Amino acid sequence: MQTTHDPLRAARVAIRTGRFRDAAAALAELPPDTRQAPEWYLLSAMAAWRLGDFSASRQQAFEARARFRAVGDADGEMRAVNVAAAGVFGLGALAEAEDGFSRALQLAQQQGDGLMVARCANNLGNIALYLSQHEAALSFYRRARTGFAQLGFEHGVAETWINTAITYRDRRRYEDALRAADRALDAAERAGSARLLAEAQANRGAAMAGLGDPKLGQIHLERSLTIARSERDRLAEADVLRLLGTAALAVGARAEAVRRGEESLAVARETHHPWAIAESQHDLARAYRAVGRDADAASAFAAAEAAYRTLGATARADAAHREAAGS
Amino acid sequence: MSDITPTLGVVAFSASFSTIWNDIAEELGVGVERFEPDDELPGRAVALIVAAGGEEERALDALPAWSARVGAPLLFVGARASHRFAIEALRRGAADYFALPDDLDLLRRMLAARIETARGRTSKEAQPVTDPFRELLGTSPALQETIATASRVLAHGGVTLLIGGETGTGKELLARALHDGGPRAGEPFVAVNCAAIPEQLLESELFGHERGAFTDAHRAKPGLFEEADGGTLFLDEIGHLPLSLQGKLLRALDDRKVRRVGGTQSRGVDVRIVAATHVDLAAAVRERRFREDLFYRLNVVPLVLPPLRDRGDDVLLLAEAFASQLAARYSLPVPRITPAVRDVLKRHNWPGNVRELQHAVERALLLSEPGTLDPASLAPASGKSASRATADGPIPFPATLTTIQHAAAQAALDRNAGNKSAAARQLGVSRARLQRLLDRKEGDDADDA
Repeated sequence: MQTTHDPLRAARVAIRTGRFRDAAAALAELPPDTRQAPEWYLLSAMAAWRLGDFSASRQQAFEARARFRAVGDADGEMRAVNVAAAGVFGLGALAEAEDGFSRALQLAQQQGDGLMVARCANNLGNIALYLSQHEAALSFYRRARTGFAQLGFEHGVAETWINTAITYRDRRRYEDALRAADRALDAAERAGSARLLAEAQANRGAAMAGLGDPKLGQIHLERSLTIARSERDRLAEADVLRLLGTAALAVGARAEAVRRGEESLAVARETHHPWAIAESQHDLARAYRAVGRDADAASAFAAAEAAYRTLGATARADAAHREAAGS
Repeated sequence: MSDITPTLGVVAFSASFSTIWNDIAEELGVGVERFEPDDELPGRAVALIVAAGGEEERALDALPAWSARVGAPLLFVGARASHRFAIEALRRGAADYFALPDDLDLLRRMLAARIETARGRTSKEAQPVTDPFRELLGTSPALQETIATASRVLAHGGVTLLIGGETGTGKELLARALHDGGPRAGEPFVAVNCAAIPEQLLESELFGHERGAFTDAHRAKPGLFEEADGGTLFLDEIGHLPLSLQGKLLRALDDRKVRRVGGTQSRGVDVRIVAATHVDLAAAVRERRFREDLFYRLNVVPLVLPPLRDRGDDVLLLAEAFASQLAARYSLPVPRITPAVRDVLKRHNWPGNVRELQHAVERALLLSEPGTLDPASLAPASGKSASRATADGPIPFPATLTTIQHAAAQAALDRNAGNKSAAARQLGVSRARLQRLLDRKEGDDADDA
């Protein structure tokens, strides 16, 4: 068999299959000359982002961008800009991340790269959602979905429907959220992705609970939790545990809500994902208040507020502040 | 029945990965036909693998000519994991791009799926073309009449269509079928719900905006018309389109051009409009809420999807289909539709239509003993939907108090599977009072609370 030696292959495969620690280890072991390659920096940035080291991710992505640009690789430059923006996003600088994703979107449009256009639009949608700009978020997701669908990229289609469902849920438009989650589930099945199936199920469960059918909602959320755990997707697990806590609180199962909320926060902390941590703290604060643990509630509300402010999510920070003041 | 064994075509530009095709074919139970780039390529194969490892540029050049005459999807297999390269391959006619060895499993899975599909097709020799309306299940005359009309316009990709029908009857499904089965298949299908977008944002969403067009327009953005160029724009709930935008939509339909908000230039777009509404647009025209000229421009071919309550035994057919699909989704045994379940299904009027039925079946499936559908588990979803019906179901909105009270009584009865005592308890009224509410007709005195 005729193959060329590709020292970065192991790291690339590890990243593609979600083994980010393996990727980082493989990249660290490569000889110095390989570690000068722009793709080495790009892969390092991707691995670092997934491992929660957003600062290193951002730094390496910027380096990758400069090196891709130096060799005239516009495709690589665009990918590096996108990862750099993701790093900035993780650090909580939403405005800077928005600029980065917008720049990547522009580069992708110039190159006619529909897939990257869709990805950037999806990321911009996430930023809009974090900023509580719901209509803008829905618009970005709609645009991203059109792009993904056009390319037959069902993973992307499923992700945009999941994000759309989250956005509607955030607005308490549960019927719309359920409809979006239904679409997400169909797309996730077509994509054959267990991770996306779990997320779609979780969103269906949360929407059903919101529509006043907590029993069915809980069944979906439990199924989703099983999938997330079997896939070792800690971020999804944290999210589902948080939603289970919310559903429990809605039916008056307060102790259960606290238990799920604490579990969620513990898992979220393991992922180092600042948004997941902030969301878990916020919902846990509500559960603490419901059982009368006012000091714990105040502390959790304050932590959530601080985390939202660091992320630049002012509207959510203000909401957490108002809720804390109401205790 | 045809006994054609599916084959895998391989056209090799290099010797890279040359040993794996036989293994894959053997594993999937198909034959392999090998070709050189200059050979006459096969007209029929499950897929044609363009094995390009190391010779990507040369293989890329050959793609456009082949994509037009090879009657099988071209799967481009290279060694370069370049994102941009993959896009280029797709643009030149490849159905997909795989960078080996990383994507080997992905390729294997895709081939397995295609072979399964091909086997299904060869076992149905009399069905050369897949029915685009296959997802609109039902044998009722009301539905079949609509599908027959839709079939007649299928080939006319430029005709504007207006689909009427209550919420949940499958309007988007029909629009999607018309797109997928028509000449615009493969081009974008963009769906937007006009009622879901705030009025002040809808213009920018549909037509796009230029940078600085308004306070938050930090950068230019194409609208959905531009996104749908070449394909179909599905405008759901068109009756909610504000009057101020109706004129702009009419101009876009007539001129085939759109102008972004804040823009000075028009852009040509080739978009087929399929609009849908659950309200009576003709009445909206009479009440001057909808422009008459736009109504007639959209209503070139009207299609109406009947409500589930008017589709006779389709409710049973659909329930069985959903039960079977959902049981597979949740790895549960397929439940039997018992006479008691049939009774509940037939008795309820399904104001939320097919979508409500699907959720009711799912609910019952998940809450019942495996392999069964508990009629009582169907009921809560039914009851909940009846309250939804006040706004968008068969109850007109605004409705009289009599109508609403009658609907509430009927909903409670449905929710309790016809048990009047239980329904009365739930509503906090006597059984006799419940009966009066159920017996009421429009025009009766409602003020007896």
